[in-house]
Amino acid sequence: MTVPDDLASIRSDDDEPAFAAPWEATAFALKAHLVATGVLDAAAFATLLGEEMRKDHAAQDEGTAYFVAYVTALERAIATIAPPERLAAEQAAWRAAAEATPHGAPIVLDRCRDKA
Amino acid sequence: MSTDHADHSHLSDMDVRVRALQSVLEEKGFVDPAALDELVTLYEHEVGPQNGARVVARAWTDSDYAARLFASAGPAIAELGYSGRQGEHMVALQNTPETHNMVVCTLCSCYPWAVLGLPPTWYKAPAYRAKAVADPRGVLADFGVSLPEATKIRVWDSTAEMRYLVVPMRPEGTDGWSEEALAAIVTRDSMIGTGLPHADEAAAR
Repeated sequence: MTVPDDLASIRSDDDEPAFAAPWEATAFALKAHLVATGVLDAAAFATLLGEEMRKDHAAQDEGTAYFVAYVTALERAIATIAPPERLAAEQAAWRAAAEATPHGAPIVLDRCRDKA
Repeated sequence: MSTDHADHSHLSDMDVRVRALQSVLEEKGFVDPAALDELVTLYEHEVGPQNGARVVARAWTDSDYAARLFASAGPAIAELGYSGRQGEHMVALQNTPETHNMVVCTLCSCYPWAVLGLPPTWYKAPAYRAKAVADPRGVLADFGVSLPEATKIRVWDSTAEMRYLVVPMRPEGTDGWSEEALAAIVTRDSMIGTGLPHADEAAAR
C-alpha cells in the first residue's frame, strides 16, 4: 500500500461546518436513529460504508463524497425493508412533488397516489 | 446550483435520495419523525468536542473520576450527562510520557460521537486512515506535533462496537486552573491523539 503524503493539506478544517448540506445531517441522523432503535446493525453498516468509501464516489449537490458513500451504504443496509424498486418509486414521487410545488413553498409528498 | 428559472421547486439528486429513504422508513413505521428531528438538531448543535473536553478536564482535576474513567469509560462519561445512543462501548486511553495514543478507523469512519461530535474531514480521508497505521509519527509531524523519541505511539483502530477517547497529559503551567479553564484548552485533535493541549491555547480564545 502506498502511503499518501497529502494529509497535511486536508487537515486545516477546524472552521468547516459539520454538515455541508441539510441532506447530510438527515442521512446521519437517520442512520443513528435506526441503530438506536435496533433496526440497523452498526457493524453491518460500517462494513457497507467501508466498501462504499473505497468506490470513490464523486462529491455532488453541495455535499461531500463521504456522504454520497454514506447514503449509498444506508440504501444497501435497509434493502430488506425498502427494496431498490420501492426507493426508486419514492424518489420519483419526491421529484414529481417538487415539480408540482411553487418555488419557495415547502415540498410535501402527496400520499393520495397510493390510493389510486 | 440549478440555473433553470422554472417557477417550480427543484430537489437535488442527493436530497431526493435522502427524502425517499426517510419517507419510506417513516411510512413503514421504522422512523419516528419527531425523534429524527431531535437527532438532527442534537448532532448539528449540541454534541461536539466540548463534551469530551469536559470529561478530560474532570479526569485531570479529580483522581477518583479518572480512576473510574479508565476502569469503565461509558458509565464515567454518562456521569457528566453524555451517552452514546447506539450502544457502542467507550474506552478512555491515557497518554503518559511513555505512551502516546492515536485513534483511527481503518475500515470507515467510526468515531466517539457522544463525546466528540462529528468527525473532521481528515479523519474520514484515506490519507489519514492509511498513514495513521503505517507511519503514526509522520502523521503527528503533519499535524505539527513532535514527541520524544522514547515515547511509544500506540494506534487504536475503532470499530462499530468500540470507540476510543484519548485523555492527553495535562500541560505544564496549568496548576490551580479551574475545570472550566482546563476544558477550554482541550482540543478535538488532542482527544483523537493527533494534537496536544497547550496552556497558551487559552490566551488565543
